[in-house]
Amino acid sequence: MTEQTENPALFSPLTLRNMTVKNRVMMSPMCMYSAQDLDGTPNDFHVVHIGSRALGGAGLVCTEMTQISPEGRISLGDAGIWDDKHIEPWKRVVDFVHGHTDAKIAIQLGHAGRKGCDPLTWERGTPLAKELHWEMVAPSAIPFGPNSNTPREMNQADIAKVREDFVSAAKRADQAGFDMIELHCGHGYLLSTFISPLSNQRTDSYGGDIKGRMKFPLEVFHAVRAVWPENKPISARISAIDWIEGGNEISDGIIVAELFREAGLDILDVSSGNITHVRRPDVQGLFQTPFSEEIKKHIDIPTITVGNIATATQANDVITSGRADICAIGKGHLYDPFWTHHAARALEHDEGWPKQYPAAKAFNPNP
Amino acid sequence: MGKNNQVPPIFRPLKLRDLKIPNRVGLSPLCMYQAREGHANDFHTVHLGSRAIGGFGLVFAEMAAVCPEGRISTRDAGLWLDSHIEPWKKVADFVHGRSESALAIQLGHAGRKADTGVRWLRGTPEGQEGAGGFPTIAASAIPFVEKYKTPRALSREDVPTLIHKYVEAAKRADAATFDIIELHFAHGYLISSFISPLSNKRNDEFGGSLEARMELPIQIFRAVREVWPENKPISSRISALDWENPGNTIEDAVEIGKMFKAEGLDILDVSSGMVTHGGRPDIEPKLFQVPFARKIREGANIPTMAVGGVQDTDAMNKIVEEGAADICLMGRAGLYNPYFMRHAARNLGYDFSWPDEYVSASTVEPPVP
Repeated sequence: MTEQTENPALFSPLTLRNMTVKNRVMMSPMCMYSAQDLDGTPNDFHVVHIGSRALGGAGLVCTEMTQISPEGRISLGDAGIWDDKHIEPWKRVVDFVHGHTDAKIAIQLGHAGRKGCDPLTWERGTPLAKELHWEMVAPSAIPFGPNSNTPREMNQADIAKVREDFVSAAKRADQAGFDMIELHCGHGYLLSTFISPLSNQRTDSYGGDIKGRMKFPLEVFHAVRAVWPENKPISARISAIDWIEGGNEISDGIIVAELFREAGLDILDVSSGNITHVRRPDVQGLFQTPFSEEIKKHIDIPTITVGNIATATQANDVITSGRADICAIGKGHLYDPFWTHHAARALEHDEGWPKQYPAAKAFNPNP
Repeated sequence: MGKNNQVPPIFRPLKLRDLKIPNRVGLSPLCMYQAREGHANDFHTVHLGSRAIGGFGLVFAEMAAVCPEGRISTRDAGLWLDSHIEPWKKVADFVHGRSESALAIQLGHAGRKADTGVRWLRGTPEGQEGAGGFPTIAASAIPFVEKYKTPRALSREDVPTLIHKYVEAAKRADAATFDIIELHFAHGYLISSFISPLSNKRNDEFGGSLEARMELPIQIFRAVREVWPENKPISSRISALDWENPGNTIEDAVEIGKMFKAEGLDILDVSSGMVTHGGRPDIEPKLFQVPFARKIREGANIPTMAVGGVQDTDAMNKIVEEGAADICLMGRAGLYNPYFMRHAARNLGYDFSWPDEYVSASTVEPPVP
């Protein structure tokens, strides 16, 4: 057996366009609500948060949902890339990852749509002061939930502006040196609200059947693809199902995947739900991996699976059995920034440690 | 609270002068070889900052050279220039702004072990990277090992200049808002070479008896204590024994502890050996230096830090509970797991609140990964 075949599948590389990730672990995008001065600018916190997880061995780290416009924010603490002033601070994060680790770094571009005007997550008890609210937009004037503001239905000019904001954000992301873009098309945020029939009741070409509802996300994808360097991949996160009667089902998720694949998407990040205030059921275990598996059964597209992946064995089994191509680890990475190094140890795989940490490589935690 | 409604020993705070250290476990000072001309950078912010978020009560920056000739390699961190203050302050601002941790830095001079290059490049074709080609100094003109250059014996006239460098470095450490400084008087570096009779063959007032060999370290301590703010503590790392005859023994170390105690040192960081080549066992048993910390703590009545093979929560609780040492320092284990203390709290059932950003980590059920 060659050394290559002895590696656990989780520690095999994956190439998307010109980007090769050294293993199949990604730090999932997670909102940190920690932008400097509440103006979207990443700071030391983001360098340490993302940098330590890149040092921790994840092959791919992804920023939190980073907003393409101020009105696309969930909260004032969101990270942003709507202004040129955001490029340099993001470049600092990217340079750390590229300079001190062999991880790749993606940026998740998003627009919160009707899920905006939230307080910071740890201030949820107190609604955001009215004077700090902004006008939210969505495909239809339907609020996220009973306690949410009603968004304004987007007109043609709004649609054009959001598309352009995604394009400008993508250009800035390239200038900052990111290796991949992930378009956030899930969880009830703006692009997601176009895809779900629960939030999109438009009668123009952007509504109707799943193809109509996918028109705007695909327009955004094509516009971003046109300015994003040819050699760099693009991912999209979707809610494969809505978990609500009358919402998208897995058959719709499969069509979404097919449309994205035809459009040239490189990898699909398969999540689910969070479309309305009715939360997805609290399911234990790898509750979303079946959606990734189902999509891969029908559509030839690489996928990322996410949701409750806790142990090295779980993640390795997912990759070994081909249920997904990358495992996105969220909470596990919050709990343990060195999740990947520790997973390697659990799988008895001798993977690389940062050169600054040779003593950690030799360390035996259970002598 | 722990399972029996008691705070586990390692999670009990410790006060040194006005400094409250929130728990008894620290990240040991570890050379990272990532500085440029002595300046810290984002690497140090991430390396140290993630351990502060990870719950280490005391986070040690690495040995910072008091002068460029005191560096192990050209990639060493430093405190010999005013321009070193700002990058260190950035690290300190992160640690203080995002955690309860105390931040320490070691002041050092590598002496006859200087200019040996970046650790992981030694013996490779790139081995010269980081070797600056500067002359070295020591207590006596005896090389550490044959392949190292022979140092020049520090002259008596050099002493005030050297002390001044420690003083200036300490002032910069204060300006950078470090909470503790530790004088690195161990492991065969410059001041350690004075303390050990194996490397100090001087016949002036800085050589001979243990008192004489301690003359320079004590002079440095007094001068630094003079400028270091009254309310901030000072530590010193020593090699408690040389692991070689006729070198220093643990009995000598107890005497060293008494001398430092009399001078007002706040805590002694008890390591051992590396004073001569091969002067430390190749196989380091778990906790092999803890008995030295305990002996000094009991014999000299001075708080101590235990270091060396410290990696086990139960063992650390025992060390603190039994009074073998006041603080446990983790090196390798701290590199291996930046969130060690958060995971230790989970295993002990101790409620150690997570930063706001990481609250959902509190719902994670081990095993992770």
